[in-house]
Amino acid sequence: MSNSVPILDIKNLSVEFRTRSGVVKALENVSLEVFRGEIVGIVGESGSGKSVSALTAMGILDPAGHVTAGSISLGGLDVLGASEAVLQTMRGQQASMIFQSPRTALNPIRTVGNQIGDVLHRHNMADRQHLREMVIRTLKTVRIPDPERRFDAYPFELSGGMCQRIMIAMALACSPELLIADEPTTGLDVTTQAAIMDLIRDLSRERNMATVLITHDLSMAADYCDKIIVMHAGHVVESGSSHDLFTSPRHPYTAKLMKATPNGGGSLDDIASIHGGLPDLRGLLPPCRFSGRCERHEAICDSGPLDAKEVSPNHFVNCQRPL
Amino acid sequence: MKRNDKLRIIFGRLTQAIPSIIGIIIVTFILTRALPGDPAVYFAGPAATEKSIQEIRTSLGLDKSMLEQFWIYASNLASGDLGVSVSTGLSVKEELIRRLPASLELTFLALLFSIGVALPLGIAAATRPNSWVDQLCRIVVTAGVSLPVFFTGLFMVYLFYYILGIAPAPLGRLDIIYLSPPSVTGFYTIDALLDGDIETFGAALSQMILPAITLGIFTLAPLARMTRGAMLQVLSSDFIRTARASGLKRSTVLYTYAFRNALLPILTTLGMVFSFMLGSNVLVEKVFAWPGIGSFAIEALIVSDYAAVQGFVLAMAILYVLLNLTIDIIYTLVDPRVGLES
Ligand SMILES: Nc1ncnc2c1ncn2[C@@H]1O[C@H](COP(=O)(O)OP(=O)(O)OP(=O)(O)O)[C@@H](O)[C@H]1O
Ligand SMILES: [Mg+2]
Repeated sequence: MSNSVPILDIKNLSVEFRTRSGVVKALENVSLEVFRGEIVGIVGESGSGKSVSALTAMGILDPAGHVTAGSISLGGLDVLGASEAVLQTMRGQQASMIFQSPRTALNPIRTVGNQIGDVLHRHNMADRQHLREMVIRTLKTVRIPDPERRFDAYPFELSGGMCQRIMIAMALACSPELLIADEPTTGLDVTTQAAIMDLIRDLSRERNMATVLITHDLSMAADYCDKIIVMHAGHVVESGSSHDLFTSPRHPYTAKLMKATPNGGGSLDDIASIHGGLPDLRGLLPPCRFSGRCERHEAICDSGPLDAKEVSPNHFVNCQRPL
Repeated sequence: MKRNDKLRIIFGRLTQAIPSIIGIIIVTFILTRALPGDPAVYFAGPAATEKSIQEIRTSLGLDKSMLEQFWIYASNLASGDLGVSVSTGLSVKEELIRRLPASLELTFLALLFSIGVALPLGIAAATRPNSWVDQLCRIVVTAGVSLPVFFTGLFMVYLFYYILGIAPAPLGRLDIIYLSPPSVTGFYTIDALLDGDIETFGAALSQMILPAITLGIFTLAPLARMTRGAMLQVLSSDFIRTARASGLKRSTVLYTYAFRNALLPILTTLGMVFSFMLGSNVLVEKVFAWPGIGSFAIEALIVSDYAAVQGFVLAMAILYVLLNLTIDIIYTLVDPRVGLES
């Protein structure tokens, strides 16, 4: 198998935001790998650093954000060392990202066809004469009915689900190796959610892409992901196959998440009441950022830096006292 | 089908303007009558007797009832007659036709200058917050609002005409050694070009530069501030992140995506700024002896020259309506969403 080299390989990544109210340690020592053909879910409460990880991987972190340690390799490209010009050609061509609230994620005063066309043209996938044709072909791949007519539509003329399909079409227009979907279905109704998720899964299987799915929704992660990474307050606390994680969670936080959402289903939004909230990411933080909320907390937890332990093959836990 | 929709919207705006113009005609009529001072007394002079004042009043039609006066005014207006200015003795229409282009030409050049400086400055400041360009933008904005027009005007005359001697004397639209070009548009620069007279064109332009910059500096501030603010806001929106995540070039992101969206609030400000300019013309016209519509209006106002004041206000009102219409049209062209809510 060609699975030996990950498409996305983040190693020991730390990111800080310098804000007026202090330095926010948004990510610390985050590592993750995504291989071709697999769908990897990143789950965690709001503010746990999921989006920051994705944006850093794409090289489009907010200027206030600084990478203080670590490395990112994307399709062999050193993202943190590459020039902006190189990163620009990488984006959209080797790696694409789709976002939540697709309606605002599209330019409101440009037709959707032209927006997809811009991306195709940028990456030299089509010359001006064949652009329209190419865009329509792209629209067909995301199962948009009547693509010829949709080409000239503006985002406000389309439903949220339709806009998300446009976003997916745009992201996949240049056949990237990596697709990052950051809460792609938030704000859509349930049936549309399923349709969009099915579409993403089918396309990533068809094209043998590496796919990252960021979500609040545990049941969605269980349904669609091969591997799951659980994040908490800027740390990866546990990672492993969906099956392992759901049947035998080893980190107390993961276990809590599972328990708080019966049958491993439901959304993290409803369970923000796990004892306490996320710690303040400014200032001094304990080695284990979950310690303040953890019932198993003991002196050893504060003793030294945390390292990922492989508790079973490909199942990693960042905890001194795993379950 | 879409094109037709837009035409319909534009036509709708046009018809909406008619009632406002009628309203303006009525209001100016009443307001001019409410001005302090009696034109008959003024024109009769200090040595006038009660009888001669009365005669003048009758000859001006001021002895009739308000309603009658309005009827006469309105029916004259309908036939394109704006009356005669009692202070200059010329028909108001003629005065306006001569003076309006002078003011407009100046205002347009000032606007061009203002846009040419404020937009690039605002965009540069927004793309590099807290850099030196941003600081420069801040300084310009502060200076622009705090320096009074007459001061910048006088200062520039002093510096560029008196000290450096590189600007022509601030004495109107054209140095007396030149003949004004044959009138087509009333804009000297354009008329001179149409006439193929480059020399006069240059002379007319050089007369305009100082007053246009003076006027432009005044409007630089709101325009630069709005450009910066609108660009900052658009640049932080979701679709810009999408554009960047798709690898679009910086220039595409900045102009095709960000600037076109920022254009909408900028346009609104542009309309306001233009109105400002027409209003603040008076001071600039005084400093540069510009034979424009502003100085005409002030003089007419002082002597309660009803016909002239009414003509001026009407001309301004129509200008505003046209201006707003133009902005509306550009809006509908830039923003596909316009017209759907209304
Ligand atoms: N531009 C920024 N400036 C300052 N802090 C930031 C910025 N962006 C993110 N952060 C901080 O980084 C942390 C992680 O944010 P991130 O957006 O990655 O969370 P998330 O897991 O994606 O949450 P959500 O589920 O709400 O999207 C948060 O504490 C947030 O406050
Ligand atoms: Mg997020």
